[in-house]
Amino acid sequence: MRKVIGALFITLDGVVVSPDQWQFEFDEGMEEEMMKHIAVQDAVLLGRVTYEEWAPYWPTATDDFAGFINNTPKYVFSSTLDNVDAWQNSTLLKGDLADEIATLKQQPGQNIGTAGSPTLVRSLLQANLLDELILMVHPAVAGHGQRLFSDDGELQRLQLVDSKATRSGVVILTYQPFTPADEA
Amino acid sequence: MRKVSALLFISVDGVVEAPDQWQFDFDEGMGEAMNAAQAAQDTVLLGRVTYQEWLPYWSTYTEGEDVDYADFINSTPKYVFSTTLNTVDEWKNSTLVKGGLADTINALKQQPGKTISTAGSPTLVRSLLKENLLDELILFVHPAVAGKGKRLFSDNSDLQRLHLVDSKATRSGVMILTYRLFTPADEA
Repeated sequence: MRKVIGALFITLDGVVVSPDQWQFEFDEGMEEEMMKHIAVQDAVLLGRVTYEEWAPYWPTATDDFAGFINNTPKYVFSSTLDNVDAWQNSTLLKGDLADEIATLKQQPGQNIGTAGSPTLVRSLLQANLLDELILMVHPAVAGHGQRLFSDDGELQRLQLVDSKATRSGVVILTYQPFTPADEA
Repeated sequence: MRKVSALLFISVDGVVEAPDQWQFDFDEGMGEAMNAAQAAQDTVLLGRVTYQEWLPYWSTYTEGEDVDYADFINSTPKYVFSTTLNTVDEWKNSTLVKGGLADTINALKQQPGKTISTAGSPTLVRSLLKENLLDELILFVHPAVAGKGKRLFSDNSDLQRLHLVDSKATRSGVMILTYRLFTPADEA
């Protein structure tokens, strides 16, 4: 079945907003990792905030990521938007998160990835809907700003399935939900 | 000059309290890294809470699998930072510090010796970090989201750029990340 993958830039203190404040370099190791994931993704999940920030920018951009994000089917989760017609290949989803994800997973296709959308990633994580969480941990303490993890959640055990450090000191950590079979 | 180093167990969501809730394994890679850090230090910094929790446990620990650590922590000079304690005489080799953090650390660094390191004491580590007094921060990132509990990093401080010195994954999926403060020389 297709996997649901959440990927985020994050600081050592867990902040996931305003990466321009704490991302001082975008090195080849980071680019390689992102390209690797994009290559096996054919659906993108977006939260409302990221949709509204990205819709005015990407449709007229021309780099590699623009080609990907404009052409790939995008599913926008929002209870307040009326339509997502401003950005090509976008579909508005207003239903229950778990139901919508289950429906998407039943459809044939490659992986379903998030783009930006930290609040959505938090919701997916809390609802145990992520098959993989990729954190690109930047070597900085942001000091303030929205964090990925809430402070009133439940304990969730994870399994580290991959890790690598890039030249500029970003650590790329790939986690999956822990299953009892991992214990062995 | 001697380094000031901090080592903490931490969850993916940055929680440093109650590691028994999210540490499911203590594997050989973690043991090795802990031993290496311990072998490099000859002075320990403690916050008040850790001092009070550890005193009754370690000061009477004489046999068991952690006896090596007990010998280390009991025999090593300990500096306890507290504005409320009146004495730390109950645990041998302890000195109570009531003065300013930066002054005390700088005075200790002037003395000859090996690395000065915190033990537990997340609130103290947070203060050292905020005041740019840490030469090295070693985080054992455990593969779990704690969900709640006290976090290492405050949410009302300033941006601090760090430099990743080392990273390794242990068998049970703990990431050992070693950082120091970023200096312009790292830019190259």
